Amino acid sequence: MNCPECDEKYLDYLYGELSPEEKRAVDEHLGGCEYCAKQLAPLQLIRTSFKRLEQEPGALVHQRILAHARDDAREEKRSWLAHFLFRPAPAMAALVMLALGIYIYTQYPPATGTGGTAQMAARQESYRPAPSPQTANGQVADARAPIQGVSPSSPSDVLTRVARAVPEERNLLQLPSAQPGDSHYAFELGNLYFNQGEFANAIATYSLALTMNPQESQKAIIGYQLALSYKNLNDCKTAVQVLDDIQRKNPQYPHIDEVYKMAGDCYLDLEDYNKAEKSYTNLISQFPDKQPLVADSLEKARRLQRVNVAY
Amino acid sequence: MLQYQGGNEAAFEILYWRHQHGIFNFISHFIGEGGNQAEELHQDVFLKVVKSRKRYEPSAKFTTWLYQIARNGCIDHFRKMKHRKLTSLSQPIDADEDMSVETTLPHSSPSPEKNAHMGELAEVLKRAIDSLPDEQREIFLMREDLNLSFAEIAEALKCPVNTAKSRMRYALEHLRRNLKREGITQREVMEGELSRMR
Repeated sequence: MNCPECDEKYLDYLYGELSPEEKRAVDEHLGGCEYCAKQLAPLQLIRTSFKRLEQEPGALVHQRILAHARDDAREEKRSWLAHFLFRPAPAMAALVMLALGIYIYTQYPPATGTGGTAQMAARQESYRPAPSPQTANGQVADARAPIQGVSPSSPSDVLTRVARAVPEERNLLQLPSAQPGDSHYAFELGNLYFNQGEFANAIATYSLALTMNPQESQKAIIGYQLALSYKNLNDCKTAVQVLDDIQRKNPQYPHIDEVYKMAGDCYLDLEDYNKAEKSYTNLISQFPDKQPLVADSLEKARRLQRVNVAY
Repeated sequence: MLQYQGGNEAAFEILYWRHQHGIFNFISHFIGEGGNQAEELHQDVFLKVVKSRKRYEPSAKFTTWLYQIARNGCIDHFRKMKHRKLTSLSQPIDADEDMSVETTLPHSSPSPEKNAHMGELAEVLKRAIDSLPDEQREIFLMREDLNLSFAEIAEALKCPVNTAKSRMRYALEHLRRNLKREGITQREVMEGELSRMR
C-alpha cells in the first residue's frame, strides 16, 4: 500500500492490534480513501478464505493425548505399588500374563550352553547394547544380571524382572490402541525391552504376546523379534526353532527374506553349514535381488562345508 | 500450565482444547499436508508437553513454548522427509526477494468463473501459501493459525517486531498478487459463497 496514512497501520488494523482510537481513525480514513479500501479488501478476503483451509484432527487423536496426560498426572500422584493394588484389572492382567508367560516360556526354553566360539563371543559383543538404564528403585535393569536366591536362567527370574520393570514402561504404553492384556501391548513392551538390550525380558514378553491370540499377520512379526532376541543372547539353537516355525506356518510373511537370512546366520553360528547354505539359497531363489546381501555368507558356508568334508 | 505442572490433570484438558485447533492447523499448513502425518506430529507435540512439563518455565509464554515444540517437530519431519529446503530465519529480508516468487509458481490459468468458487479459491490460496518463502510462510501461519500477536511472534523468533511485520507484509502482498493473477476478485468470491449457502 502506498498511502502514508495507512501504510504503517493497515497490518495492525487487519489483525485487530490497534487501540480503539487508532482503529476509529483508520475506519474514517478508509471511508474516504477509495485507494486504501480497494487495497485492503483482498487482504481481508485472504483472511476469510484462509479460514476455509482449517481442519480438525480425528477424535481418536484427542482421546490418545488426553488419556496419556491424565495417566501421566495420576502416575505421579501415587506410587506404582499403590496404583497397582488399587486397580484390580491391571493387577489381574499382570498375573494372567505372568502365568501365561511361565507356560509359554517352557515351550521355547533358552539353550543351556553359551556357544563358546570366538566368533559367537564377538557376535554377542556386537549385539550388546549400551548399559541399561537404572530402574526407579536404583537397580540396573540388566536381564542377564542374577538376582540373589534365584537361578539366573529360570523363567520366574525373567518374569519377575518383567513385572518389576512394567511400571517404568507403562507410561509409554498408555494408548487406547494398546491395552494391557492384548498382544499388541505385549509386543510393544517386548520392543521396549529389546531396544534397551534386555533380551531375556524381551523373550518373555514376546512369548506372552504369542499366547494372546495375535492376528495371523502379527504372529510372524512377533516370532521374528523373538528369534532375534534369542540370537542376541547367543541362543541360536532356539532362534532357529522359532525361525523354522515361521517358515513352516507363515510362508507368505512379507519379510520372509529376513527370516531366511537370520536362519542362515544362526546356522552359521551353530556350525551347521549345510543348513546355512540351504537357508541362503532359499532366500536367493525367492528373492534374487537379495543375492548381494548374503553372497559372502553363502560363500563362507560352502567353503566351511568343504573344509569339514576334507577333514 | 503451572497447574498441570503441579499435578492438576484437568488443567491440561483446558490447555489442550484451547490450543489444539491452532497447533493442528499450524502443523498441517507448515508441512503442507493434513491427514495421518499431521495427526502424528500433532500428537507428538502434546505428548512432548506432557513429558517435559517439569521443564516448563513460567518466564516463557506457554503459547510460545508450545509453538517452539510444534515448529521443531515440523522441522524434524522435513529432515526425515527431505522434501523441502528450510531457509534460516536469520536470513535478512531482501525487498526484492518476493519479486521472483511469481516466476517460480506453477502457472495454471483457469478461467475467472471457475476460480470464483470458494473451494477453488482455497486451493489457489493453499498453493500460494506453500510457495511463500519459509520465513514469510512461518510468520503468516503463526499469525493466522496460532493467533499470536506480532510482539509474540517477534519474541518467539527472536527478531524485532518490525522485522516480523515486514515479513508479514511481504507474505500478504505475495498472496494478494497471486489471487489477482488467478483472476479472483472479492465480488466473485462473494458470489461463490452465496451460491454455496443457497
